[in-house]
Amino acid sequence: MRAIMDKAKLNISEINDMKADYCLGNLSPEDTSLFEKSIVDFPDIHNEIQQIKVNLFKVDASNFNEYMERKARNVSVYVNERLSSKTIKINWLKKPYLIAASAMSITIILFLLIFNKNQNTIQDYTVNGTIEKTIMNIIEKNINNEQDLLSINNDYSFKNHLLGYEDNIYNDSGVLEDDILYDEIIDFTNISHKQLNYLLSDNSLSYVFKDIMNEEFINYFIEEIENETFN
Amino acid sequence: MNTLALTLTDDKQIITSFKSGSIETASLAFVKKYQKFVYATAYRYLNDYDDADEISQEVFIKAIEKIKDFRGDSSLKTWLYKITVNLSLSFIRKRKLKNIFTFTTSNLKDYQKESRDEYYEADKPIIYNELNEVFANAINTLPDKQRETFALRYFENMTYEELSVLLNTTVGGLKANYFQAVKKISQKLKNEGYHG
Repeated sequence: MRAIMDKAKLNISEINDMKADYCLGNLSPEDTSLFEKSIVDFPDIHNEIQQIKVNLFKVDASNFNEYMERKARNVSVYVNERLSSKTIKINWLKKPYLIAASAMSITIILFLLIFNKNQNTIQDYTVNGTIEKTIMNIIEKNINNEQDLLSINNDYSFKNHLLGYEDNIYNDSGVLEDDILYDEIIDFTNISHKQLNYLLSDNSLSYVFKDIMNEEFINYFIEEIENETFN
Repeated sequence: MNTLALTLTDDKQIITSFKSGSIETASLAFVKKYQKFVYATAYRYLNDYDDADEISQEVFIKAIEKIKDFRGDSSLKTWLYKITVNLSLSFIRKRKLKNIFTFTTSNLKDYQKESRDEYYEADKPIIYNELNEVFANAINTLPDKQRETFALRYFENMTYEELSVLLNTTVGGLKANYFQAVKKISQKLKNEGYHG
């Protein structure tokens, strides 16, 4: 506004450029003085401007700005909250050792998942509380279908005996058939006689669940049965 | 309160702070400095305080995410203004689509009027007064270019040269727009009985 200030009066173009700011009271005192001195030469514009000034007399930009400032004051709070959660993620990615640790964790998890893949079934059974039923169903199915468990051809009767034998049956060598059966199961599963008894005779796997070894046995046993390795 | 953030008032300092990794301090200073500007701009487009609040947050989140790439070809204010307008316009388009499926036209008008009345009634005792309400309404009924010229010049004290870049309009055109806006607001205030 320096050039304008040095002038004696404003021309019409300069008046038009400045009249809005004049109406709103946004000119400097020097410019206001110059504007008022110049406007008298243009009565139409003068009248128009006076009307506008009267109507805008009560308008206050600072009051309105203060209002908007108050309305907007929570923006910084919300943005800060949202950024905080994002910053944590950014910081994580910035730390090389954290990336290495994350990669290692993922590798371990993947390894465990693959390693335990075949245990999912047993875990599912356990979770659903159906493990006992499942094992017994598999065994009973084999027995009740009169299949030769462990490929032993015998004339079994599947009643009343713990493995469905009705009578003690001996093979040609005079060995009790159910002993043979037991031995073969034990060979396949590497379990103890006692464990097998718990599993098959009591029909109560609660014994088996009492220690981890027995649980591992059940996993193995189910796998073997489901994979039909006993046939 | 992060006191260091309060000392960051210059745009160059804020950008440098961002680039040096002081994200939290820089963000706080950045948002504090421009929150009123962004909020007011969003409100002029959206005519709804809650929506303006939502968009303002989005603007700052986006700006902070991208600020490291800010080349400084324009001022931060200009950059923020463009982001705000773009997001507001996008929001309006989505809102229109949403309204087509959720409201009839008459219901929508009733809803908007109701929301606005509720807001004014709730806030009036604290700070808002009737004149400012009429003033705000008068501004928001102006054509887009006149409204933006008026608001940015009157409330943000932006120069015509800055506005020229921002609104892609000649300085002469802006001066004419500004006076037209002032004239219409003046008339509106007069019609509402607010004249000296």
